[in-house]
Amino acid sequence: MTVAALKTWPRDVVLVASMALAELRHRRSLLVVSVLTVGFLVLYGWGVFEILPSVTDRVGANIREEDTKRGVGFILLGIAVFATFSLASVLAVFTTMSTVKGEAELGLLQSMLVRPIARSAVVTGRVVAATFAGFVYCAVVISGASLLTSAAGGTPPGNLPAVILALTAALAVVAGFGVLLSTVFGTAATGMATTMLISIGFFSSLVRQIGESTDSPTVAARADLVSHVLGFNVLYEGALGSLTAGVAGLAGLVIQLGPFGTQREFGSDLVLLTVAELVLLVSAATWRLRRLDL
Amino acid sequence: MDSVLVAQELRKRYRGAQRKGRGDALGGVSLSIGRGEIVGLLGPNGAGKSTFAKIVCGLVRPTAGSALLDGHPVGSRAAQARLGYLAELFRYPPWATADGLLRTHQRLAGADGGASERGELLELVGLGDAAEVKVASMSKGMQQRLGLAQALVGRPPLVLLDEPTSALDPVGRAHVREVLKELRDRGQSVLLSSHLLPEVEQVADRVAIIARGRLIIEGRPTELAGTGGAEFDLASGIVRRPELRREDLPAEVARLVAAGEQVYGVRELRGTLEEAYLRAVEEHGGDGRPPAAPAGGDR
Repeated sequence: MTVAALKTWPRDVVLVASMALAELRHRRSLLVVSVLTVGFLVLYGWGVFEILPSVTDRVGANIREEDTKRGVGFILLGIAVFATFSLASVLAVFTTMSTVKGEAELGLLQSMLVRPIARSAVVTGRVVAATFAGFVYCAVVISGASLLTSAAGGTPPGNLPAVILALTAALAVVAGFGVLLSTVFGTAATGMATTMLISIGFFSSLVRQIGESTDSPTVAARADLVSHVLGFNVLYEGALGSLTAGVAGLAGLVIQLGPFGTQREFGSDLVLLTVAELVLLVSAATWRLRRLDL
Repeated sequence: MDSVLVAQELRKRYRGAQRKGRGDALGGVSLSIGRGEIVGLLGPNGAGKSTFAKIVCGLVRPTAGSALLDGHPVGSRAAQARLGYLAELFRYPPWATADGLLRTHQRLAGADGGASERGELLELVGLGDAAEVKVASMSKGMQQRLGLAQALVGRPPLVLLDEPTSALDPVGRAHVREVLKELRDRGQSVLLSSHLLPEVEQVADRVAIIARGRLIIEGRPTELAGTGGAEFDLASGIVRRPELRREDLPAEVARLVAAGEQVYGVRELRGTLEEAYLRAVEEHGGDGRPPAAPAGGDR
């Protein structure tokens, strides 16, 4: 890349990202996700206000009411994190699944690529758009769920910003996979393949949990490897870990036994993993795009 | 003439072509386009016209050969900044307005013409009163005019137009011809790929015919069309002499009069580009059939 190209690269990325976000808005994907989200938050609110006030009546007297409420509150927030990641993944998949082959088949990509714009900027711009949309979405939904949980008597997340950042990073990696797969498959196939990868990620978390609880280190290690290769999955686990960051005792334990995957600490190692995965995915997608005849 | 595009021995073999029993999409095409020149690129379907245009646009990588656009290798950032392109299968975001689409392309091209350039371009293509009309509400013809406008954003030295009038009615086609002539007057070059031979004949300074991936003939349309002989209106009826050229006519009239014929009129016949095209393509193993005129209309 020349010096002139390097100077304009950030501008090109922002331009591509703004075009992708405009497309997201006009294609009504955002509207669909918003309607689903409102539905989720209404159900979530109804659920936490039904469950949390009645928690003490259902649990044996040997557990303190405060601990029980915190534990149940964190389980409910765990559900919120799971739902947020799932719904935001829809956004990320929709934003990226037609990036290359899908748009080329429609003739949209060519009119962009004949302009003096780096192909890496085209790829990166899409990932940035999906990440930005994911960040706004996660911030709104997780904050909303957190407020509802607190209002119903639960405890807010241990580290709310870290939960949002970990989920955003997970969505950036999902977007990276979406963009890379779009250089190989058409729109529908890319959407399906990316969604399947997300499912595999959840499955690997469950397998790791099973491996750990059955004292099978090999199973747990292999499932952990899959989670790391997929990247977004360990970040999702990092978001779950940030829910109970600094929370000891029963409440901290309960979420680990929940049905939404194991948790882990969201620290600098996961930030480095995110950066490395994104660089790898974007580089591979750019390489593929440069080799494609359009 | 100063050349804006110099392509030398461009070859392209698509991946898997050999397995599918296909040869080179381009088999070594050399072609140059002068500054301010309109070159018509003709050929049967699958001849390699689009592949050539896409290589120049940087959308397809050549297997061999080279092409320089204003001295810069095609596909480079510098070359991309110097061309405008209207694809045959064009499509724009349905929610974009005409003005919004041009604004986006100004940003993509790094053009600083602003609102005045957008207004001028829309006027030029006959969409002056449609700046706020969305693509979704436009007829195919209007979209094609808009596509032409976006190809002209930033006043690129070379404009590649692939079937730019396929969706236009005769009035729209005539309008586009005038636009092309205006581009020539401004010093912009045009590579015009089309199946509408009469259109190309009217506007192109030079024509290149490609068949089976090879450049089989090039020249001025009048040179390629050549003479079609002469027609004599005699007392005995109309007599056609296809072998005669313009300079032969006075002597032939004198010969007929001397022979006692009554000559009421003489008409020089011109060949057409279509005849030259059919002849050239048939000689080089093409299907020889003129492509059907595309359907579609301008609202």
